[in-house]
Amino acid sequence: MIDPDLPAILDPFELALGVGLLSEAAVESALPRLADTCPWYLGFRRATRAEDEIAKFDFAIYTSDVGRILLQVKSSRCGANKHDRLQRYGRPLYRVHAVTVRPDMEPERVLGRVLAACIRAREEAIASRCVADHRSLCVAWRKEAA
Amino acid sequence: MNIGGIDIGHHNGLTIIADGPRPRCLFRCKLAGEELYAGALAAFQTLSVKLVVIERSVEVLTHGRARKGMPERVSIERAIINSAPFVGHAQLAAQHAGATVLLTTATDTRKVLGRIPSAPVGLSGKRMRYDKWIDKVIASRARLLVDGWEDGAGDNEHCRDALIAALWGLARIKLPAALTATSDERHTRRRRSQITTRRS
Repeated sequence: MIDPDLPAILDPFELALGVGLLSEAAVESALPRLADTCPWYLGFRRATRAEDEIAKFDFAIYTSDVGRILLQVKSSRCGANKHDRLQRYGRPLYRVHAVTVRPDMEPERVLGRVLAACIRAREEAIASRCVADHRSLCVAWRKEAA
Repeated sequence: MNIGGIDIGHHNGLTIIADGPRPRCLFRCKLAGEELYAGALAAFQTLSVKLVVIERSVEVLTHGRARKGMPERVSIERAIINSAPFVGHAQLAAQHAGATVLLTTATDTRKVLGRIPSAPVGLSGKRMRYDKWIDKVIASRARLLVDGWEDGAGDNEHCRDALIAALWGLARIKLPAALTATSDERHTRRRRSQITTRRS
């Protein structure tokens, strides 16, 4: 049964926004599960509006050893690649890690993606002996990639 | 049941798959040696892994992989020797997470991919060498065996080898116990003719 209140053609931009919100909700529900098993996990918070629009991150995860890990949730690999390009060649304020999560993923898989991003961020920070959100890591990453 | 696979080497790959009608990839990550214990422990505990398969490096492989000359061969062997303690780190992480550990080699685990064709003749003289060719064959097959293995972060040869190790573990636990027995158990088992039965 088609809902008569829905518009005949959905605006793709609004559709993408909706998908993004659902992906962020999936990540938000997965993050507290890290507290049971990761000794370095202290907590997390959502980004403020300014942080979301200017610094371009969605979640800040606080750790006991490498400061805060910043995550940007993307619902497609294309968007994540674009984010990575901006981190490499733009002028980023912080080192932000992209996580590709779609709303239809099961919670375990979302948790795996988030955990992998956190482990990668911690490893990078420990190897370069600085906090995980330091923007010098973007430069180091560019050198490594080149 | 979740199964983890670890590929030990200069870079360590870590992949976790979930059992089902079609295995699903839940987690994949490339780890350096220093972070292996902490990363593996966190991943195994978070995703409640019950079985961990560790693929060890085999020195014999270096002779096929470094055909350029002695310096390359020495550097690969040195990397393998340096990565030897990581087997212990991975084993410890798995045991702390309460998982069963199986140790294998790449030669065994690659059998889950089916028969791999013979390498083209004269491959070493061409631009693509044997190690690149075999990586290409494995990459094209491994992604077909699981669900959720997409392009992007973690789609590298280390995680792929770890995935194959995990798939090997999955295939092994589904076999009857007689086939999965170790060689020691096989030798101690008596033959049917040796078993004496009492006749009334």
